[in-house]
Formats: sequence, structure tokens, C-alpha cells
Amino acid sequence: MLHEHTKLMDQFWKIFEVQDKHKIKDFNNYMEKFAVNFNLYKDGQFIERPFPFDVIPRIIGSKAFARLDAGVSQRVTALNLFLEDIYSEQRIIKDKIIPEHFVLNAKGYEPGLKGFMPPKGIRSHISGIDLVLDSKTHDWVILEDNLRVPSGASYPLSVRNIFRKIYPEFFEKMPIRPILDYPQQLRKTMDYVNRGGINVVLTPGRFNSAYYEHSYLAQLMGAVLARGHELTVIDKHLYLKQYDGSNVRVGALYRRLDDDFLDPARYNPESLIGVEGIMEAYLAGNVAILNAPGNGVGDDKGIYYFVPQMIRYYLDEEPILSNAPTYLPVFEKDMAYILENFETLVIKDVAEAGGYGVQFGNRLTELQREDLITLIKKDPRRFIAQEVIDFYDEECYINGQIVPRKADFRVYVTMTDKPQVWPCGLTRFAMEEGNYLVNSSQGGGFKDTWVMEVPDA
Amino acid sequence: MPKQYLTKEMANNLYWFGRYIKRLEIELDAVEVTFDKVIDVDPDAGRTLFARLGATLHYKSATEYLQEAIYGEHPVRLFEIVQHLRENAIIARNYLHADTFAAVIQLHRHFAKHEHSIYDVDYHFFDHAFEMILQIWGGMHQYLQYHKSDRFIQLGEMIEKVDLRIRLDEQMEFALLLLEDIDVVAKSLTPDYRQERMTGLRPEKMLQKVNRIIDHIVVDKNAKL
Repeated sequence: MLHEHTKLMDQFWKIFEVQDKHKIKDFNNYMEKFAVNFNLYKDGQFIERPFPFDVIPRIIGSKAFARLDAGVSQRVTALNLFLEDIYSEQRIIKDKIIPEHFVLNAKGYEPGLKGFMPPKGIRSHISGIDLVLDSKTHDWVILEDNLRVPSGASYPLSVRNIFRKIYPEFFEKMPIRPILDYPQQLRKTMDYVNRGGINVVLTPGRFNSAYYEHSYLAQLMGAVLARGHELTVIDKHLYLKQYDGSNVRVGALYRRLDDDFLDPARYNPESLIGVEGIMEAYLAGNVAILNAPGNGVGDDKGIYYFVPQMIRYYLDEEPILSNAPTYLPVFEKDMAYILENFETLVIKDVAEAGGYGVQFGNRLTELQREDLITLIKKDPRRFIAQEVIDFYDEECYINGQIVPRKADFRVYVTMTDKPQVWPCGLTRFAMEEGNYLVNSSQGGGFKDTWVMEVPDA
Repeated sequence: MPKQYLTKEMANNLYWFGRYIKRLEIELDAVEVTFDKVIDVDPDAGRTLFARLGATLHYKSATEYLQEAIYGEHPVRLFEIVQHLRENAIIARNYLHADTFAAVIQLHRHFAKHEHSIYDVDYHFFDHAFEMILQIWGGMHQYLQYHKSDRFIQLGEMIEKVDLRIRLDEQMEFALLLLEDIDVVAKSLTPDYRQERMTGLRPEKMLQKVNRIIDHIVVDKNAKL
């Protein structure tokens, strides 16, 4: 695989060498011109900014990608089965594969949904699986599953359009897989579970970090973009309120906000961005919600530890892709290991996301370390510890120079009767050398990802 | 052509998008024409124009007039219109042609870039702004009339034209002519729309009625019941 990758990169560099580098600025011009933004909140201020882009793509050969495809498909299938099981018979608990308290204490577990079967039994319709390429094993390692509202697909999707125009030679000479049908893939996913009515993308609104994405995807997949107050529930059916006073039924809702804010009647009563009564419509089987409420239990950082066991349990298969070595402080043995090896581990708060709540043991002061250990001992379910994976750098073209930067990779999987992996993904890189935090909300940038056909030898 | 669904908020947003572009275009043009007068014909021409728009303007020279008209601390400064226009475009971007959207973003950048420089607001500034306004219209006319969303923009544009013509020139006959076209667009959005009688009205009364047309098209269901 490494050899395959080197060959593909050589092909890339050969073409890149003779390209007019002045045109690189056209990417930024495009991002600014079309406000391809990932906005940030910093010190209480809303900052609109284009998502920083790097021109050198991550290149993955088709054989390597086939393995990734199989691995994440297997994982998403198992996670869907897990969610179905947890909200029905809870066999995996009864069979003592996962401790009961671990599931029931997960922040995202919604006991009120037990016994409810969502349309077609699918709960994670659009999943984002975060991976890194381990520089020691040269293999992909899964860092995190995102089964609630994984964002980011629109950025490589929109940049691919312009990439083809700025540097067509790459696409003429290299067998790069097309990706522009992702919106159709999403639409197919919505149509598959639609309960009769139109498809709607629910956005928290214009000041959300990813509003650009909500708007762009809605437009391309032919769905209506709406905010909570533009929808209403009547007799357990969800409707879009039209300008002339009429209502049109909604059959599938791709919500881009967390469970907490989805329905003030059921969850956070102060939510102004949800739809009052939507859960009633959902539980009556009259509308599909993508992704399903209650999925937080499946992508809980603590539950992540058990995904390889889930794959064995539900699919009777060995996991194709590995987790990062992970330790759970709730287990005595793991707690002892964590305390002994604190310096070499990264500690994650299971309730946080977007790179928040991540602390590297070797970067803490003595006082910070003591404070964190006290917290871990007090509430061990709240934390996990992982070995720091020394993942590969991706080469980036920054200020006219080619420099290494840590980069991860989010793969998008949609689910209908079977999982479908998008032959692209979001490659995020850290802006500073050596920084392992690549999250967009931490100021990281993104690259395009090219899956390239590799002929059989 | 697939059926288009529009919420009250989006319809309003598109309507105001149309109004803001037209407002900017007409007022920018009026400011440029007045600027010429302020130089050596009628130093008060700028003050007169803005009084009709509802603001008191203070300036000592023609250059200062431009600065005040566009960036001054008053409710009808032109930069404010561009800011509203950008907000409307961002909210409604999935209903706009990509070129229209991009031109709005560029227009806003053009205005924002010159905000703190008195020397930069000159005829080049205007030329460039007009070019981008033309791009906005150009992007829209590529498929205008086909979707309801376009017709809301068109409605906003026409209402603003009537509104400003009455305010600035009291061109009542011209306004009445335009109202016939507005009637056609309004009916295409709400088939049972009936225009109120406008002939023989005083300008203030007519302004009120013209600005209420949208309320007959975009309705609150609870209010309707």
C-alpha cells in the first residue's frame, strides 16, 4: 500500500511541478467570493472566515481505499445494530459484552426511545468516521465515530469543482474518482426513509459555524432549508409553513442540530432553534429524522472502546480497522495504567467534541496534571485515555513552501439498505507544525482527497 | 421544473433582497449625480437629497459629502444597505444564482474596504460598485421569472422603485404604471391577490399602501385564520 501511495504521489508531483503556482491564490479568491466559510466563535465574537484550504490533496489509492471502505462500512453497520439493540432488547448488555452502567450513563442515551423503531430501522443515516494514518504501522486507526451531526462534506465537494477548473491537468492525466454525486447520495438516503412528504434540512440558522454547508447541501440535494420556527407539528405530523399560509408535509428531516435543541417540549425547554412537538411526530412514525435522536450513545467516546467487540458480537467478523489503544478509568486495571503512564497519554473528556476537552499528558503543568487526575478519580466515566498515535503528516503548500502538517481524515458513510462510502472525505490539517489538533473549530484547514484508481499489477 | 417551497421568512428575505439592491442602485446613482452638483453648482444638493430620504447630512466639501452619504453616522447611509443586502444574500444563498451571490459578497467587500478612508471614495469607487450591481442583476436575469423565489426578488425590486420614485421625485404617474406590473407579479405569487385602489392618492398614502402589498402576499397563518 505504501508503495502504491508513493507511486501516486510521484505522479502528482510531476504534474504539480509544471503548474503555474500563482493560480493557487485562485482557490482563496473562490472561497472568499462564494463565502465558503466555516465560522468561528472566539472570545464571544462571531467571526466569519473562509475555511483555510491547502492545494496539495491527500491521495489514496483505490486498493487502500477499498480496505477503508470495507472497514468503515463494517463499523457503521455494527454501530447501527448496536443502536437498534440498545433501544430494544439490549442483548449486548445481557450478554455482558458492554457493562450496563456504561450504556445507561452515556450522556447521549435516551431511555425514552427504548422500544421505538425508526423508519427502516436505520439510526445512523449519515456517519462521519475520523481516522488517522499511523506512521508506525502504516495503517488507518479510528479515532472517533460521529453518528449525530457530522459536518464538513460540503467543503471538499465545493472545492473539487474549482480544482478541476484551475488545474485541469491533474484530472486529465490522473484517474481520480468523481465525487460530485454526493448530494444525490444524501438525497437517496433521505428518500429511502421518507415517510411521505418533502425533504427538509433543519439548520440552527445563519450564525451557525456550518451554515454554508447546510445551505449548499440543501440546494444541491433539492431539499428545503428551514429553521425551527419555519416548521410546525399538527396532529403528530411535521409541516413546513409556506409564505401563503399553507402547510406542506415533511417526510424526512436532515437535522443539523443536537438532540438537546431538537424539541423544547421534550429536551431543553429553552431551545429556540428546535421544533416543538417534533419528537411526537417522530415517535408516531410520521417523519424520519436523520440522524436519529438518541444516537449520542453510539458515538460516546467511552462506547468507542467497545466498537471492536460490537463488530464481533453483531457481525461475527474481526474488525477490519483498529481503534487507537484506549483505556477506561472506570476499569481498575486501566486506571492504574493511566496513572502510571500519564505523560504518554492523551486524555479526552467524553462529553466534549470539536477538539475541546483534549489534553496531552506531557503538556500539562504539575498543578494541571493533579487537577485532571482528581477529576478523573472523581468521575471516571467522564474520561478516556488513549495512546498518542504518531500519525503521518501530510505535505502542505504554505507560504510558497512544502511543509509537513498533522492531518486526519473523516470518511462519510450514508446508509440505505447497505452502507455507501463516499470516495472522498474531509482531510483536516493543523495550521502549526507538530500540532495534533486538526479540528476546524481549532483553526485547522482542509484539503481535497483524491481516491485514485490503481490498475492491477 | 420542480415545485418550489418557500417559507414566510425566506419569502420576506428574498423580497428585501430585491428592495435593497434596487435601493442601493437608485441611491448610489442619486448620490453620484448630486456629487456633481455639490462641487460647484449647488452645495446644498446633497443635504436636500438626504432630507428626502429622511436624514440630516453634514459636510463641508464634495468629497466629504460622498464620505458622509456612504459611511456617515445616519440611518440611511449606503453602506448600511450593502450590509443588509449581504445578510439577505447569505440567508437566501440557496435560492440565488451563484454569480449573483458572489457579486453581492464582492460588493460588500468593496464597501467595507473603503470604510475608513476618505480619499478612496471617488468616481472609481462608484464605477466599480455599479459594475457589481450589474453583475447581481445579470446573475438573476439568467433565470428570472421561473421560480417563485425570483418573483419575490422582482417584487421587492419593483416596490422599491415605486417607493423611491415617490419619495425622491414624486413621479406619481410613473408609480401608477409600475403598479400594473406589480399586480401581475403579486398575482403570480398569490392568485387571489387584489390590489387596493391607488389612483388619486396623496404620495404619503400611496407610499403606505405600496409598502403594505407584501403583507397581502406573505401571510401569517394565525393572522389569516
